[in-house]
Amino acid sequence: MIEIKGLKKSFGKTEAIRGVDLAISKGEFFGLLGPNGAGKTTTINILSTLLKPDAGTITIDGHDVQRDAAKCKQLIGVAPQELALYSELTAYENLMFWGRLYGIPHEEAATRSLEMLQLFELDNRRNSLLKTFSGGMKRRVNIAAAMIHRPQILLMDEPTVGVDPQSRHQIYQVLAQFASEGITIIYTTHYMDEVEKLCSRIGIIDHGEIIACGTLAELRAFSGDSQLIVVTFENILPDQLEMLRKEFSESVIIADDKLSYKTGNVAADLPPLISRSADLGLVIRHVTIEHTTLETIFLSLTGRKLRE
Amino acid sequence: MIKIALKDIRIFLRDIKGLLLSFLLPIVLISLFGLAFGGLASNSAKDRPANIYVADLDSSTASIQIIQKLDSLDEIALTHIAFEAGKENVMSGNKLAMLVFYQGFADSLENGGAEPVELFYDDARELEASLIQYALISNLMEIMGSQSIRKKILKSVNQRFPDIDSITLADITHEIDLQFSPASNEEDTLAVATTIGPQIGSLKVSPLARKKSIDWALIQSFAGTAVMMLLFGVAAIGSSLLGEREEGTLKRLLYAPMNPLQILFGKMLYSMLLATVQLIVMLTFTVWVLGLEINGNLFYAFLLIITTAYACASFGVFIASISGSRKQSEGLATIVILIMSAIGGSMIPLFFMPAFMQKMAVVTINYWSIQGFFDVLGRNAGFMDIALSLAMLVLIGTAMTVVSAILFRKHIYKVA
Repeated sequence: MIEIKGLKKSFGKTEAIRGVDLAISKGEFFGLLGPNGAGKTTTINILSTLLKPDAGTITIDGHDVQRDAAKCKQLIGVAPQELALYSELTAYENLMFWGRLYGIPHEEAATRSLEMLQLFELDNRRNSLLKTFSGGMKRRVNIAAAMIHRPQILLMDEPTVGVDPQSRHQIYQVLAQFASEGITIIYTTHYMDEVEKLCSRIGIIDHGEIIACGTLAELRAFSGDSQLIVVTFENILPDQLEMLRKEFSESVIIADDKLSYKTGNVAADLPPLISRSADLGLVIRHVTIEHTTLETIFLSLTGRKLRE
Repeated sequence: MIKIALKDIRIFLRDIKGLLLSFLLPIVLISLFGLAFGGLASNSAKDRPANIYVADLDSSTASIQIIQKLDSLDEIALTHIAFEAGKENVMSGNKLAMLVFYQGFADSLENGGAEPVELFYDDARELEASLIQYALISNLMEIMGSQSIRKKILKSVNQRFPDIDSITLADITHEIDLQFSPASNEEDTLAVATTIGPQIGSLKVSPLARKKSIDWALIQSFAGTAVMMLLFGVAAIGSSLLGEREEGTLKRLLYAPMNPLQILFGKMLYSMLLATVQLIVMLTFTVWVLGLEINGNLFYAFLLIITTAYACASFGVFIASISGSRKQSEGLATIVILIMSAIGGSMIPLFFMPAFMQKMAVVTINYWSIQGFFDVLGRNAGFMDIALSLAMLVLIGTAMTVVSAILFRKHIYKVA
């Protein structure tokens, strides 16, 4: 569906994209993760024909994004991070406007607008001015506006920022429905749980390059760690925690009274840790064995937290 | 493009304050300016005070020389015309005034009699006529020279004091020579001429009643105010383009399958439609409520409305395209509009301004639009008479549109 080859883009002396290669299949729910300034937005802007790349190509369903921009624009729907809507128009009028802009005939646009409002559970507010909507409701209209022309690809840039849990849940449901209908979704977010829950495949971009790409399981394997030992102590002193960290591994993460230890072999590493803790006179409240989260994979791959 | 314009119209119609500002405020201002100009003098006009006709019925060397000298002056421009035709034109409001040199002018000048010179003027433009009257008297005095005045004074002395002795007469003659010698300053000469004006060197002035009444004050207040208010209105629309950029909707518009310039032209189309409706409403109000009598062709008036709206709409997007933000655009627009309105004749009628300011005015939209409305509404001008105004408005508008389009394309990448 989408093929990105050797994509490069610089702004002055800053290399925003340094040779991105990526292939996304039809109906895939693809999460694009990266810290701020990693190149996510530039990739999306090139994909949506807003920017011209310095090198490389992007094809959508066989159409070159640069050479056949008009066709590609019809295939893509973009839900931007900003609430790019007109607050002085009603929800229905907003959808009508965006629909008509994509060349949908008036009657058809009216039908689709009502369908979209129904899908996002906003049909009872269709004639209310957008400025009277809550943040979550506006977000839903924002996504509906991106889907009004029934694109095959939906690009979503942080679509749930500032959204209440109820609206967020509703958005997840609709997105799952879109994915089940064969719509390809490219999703960028800072919420790791969203990516874990929604995305069938994840690409991690940093310094303008895709440094890892695959399913969550593949990323776990790629990052080299599959499990995390988390030991919670009672009344432990920071010095004692630091001593344990030095004795076991520099990669041990300490937070409050917890020690997190990434390992590929729990059976081998857990007993010595418990034994040494007992030697130091530490009381262990509980021990848990967790799979590595996307957050820790991201951290281990980029050396940065997502919001850095 | 049309969809973007329709969307903006829909949003505009929901904005009650915007509606009031766009329609009610200009109407109030037109009424106030109309009253102000009307109270000052019930006239106002296009022509510079000294742009008048001359009818030389004497056709003598003296009259030809004086006409040439008057015409060579910066403040007076003369156009030769036959007496009856000139009178007809002044009465029709096509020209402010006509200077007539009657037969026998040269003889009177030589004999020291009252020269048969007369200034006919449009009585509806009394203020302008009084300015030209003053300019003509002072210049005629200077051109006709001291010889004529000396003769007139001596003739006057002889008539009043027929028994005067030759020594006293010689003293008076000497004193007159001193007063009118080249060394004597201009102020003194003018003072003498003014003091003894009714008897010698005076200019007979005759107002000519209009065939049809033209309220120049109302045309001035309508055209001047309308253009100024339109400019403020379209500048706000132009800056809404920057608002779209700031709010992210511009980026979303760019995702849609259309040429980015359609966004710019969509805004312009909306501006133009709104400006056209505003002008029609303001003109209708001026005609129906304030009582302006239209003496011209309504189709030409419509052409002028369209071209004015086009130039103003281009101005709106031009200001937006050279500004970095909405606030910057609003600030810049206010300054430019006030300057254009001041020098272009929206605030003060052009004939009040010095010549250099009148020359500067030609770079403004206000100037060409106001001139056009004077021609169409007051003078029953033909197409060729307003062609220059129409062409200049289209030219200014197109130049600004081209620059805006280039800058807008450049800014798209900043949006992305």
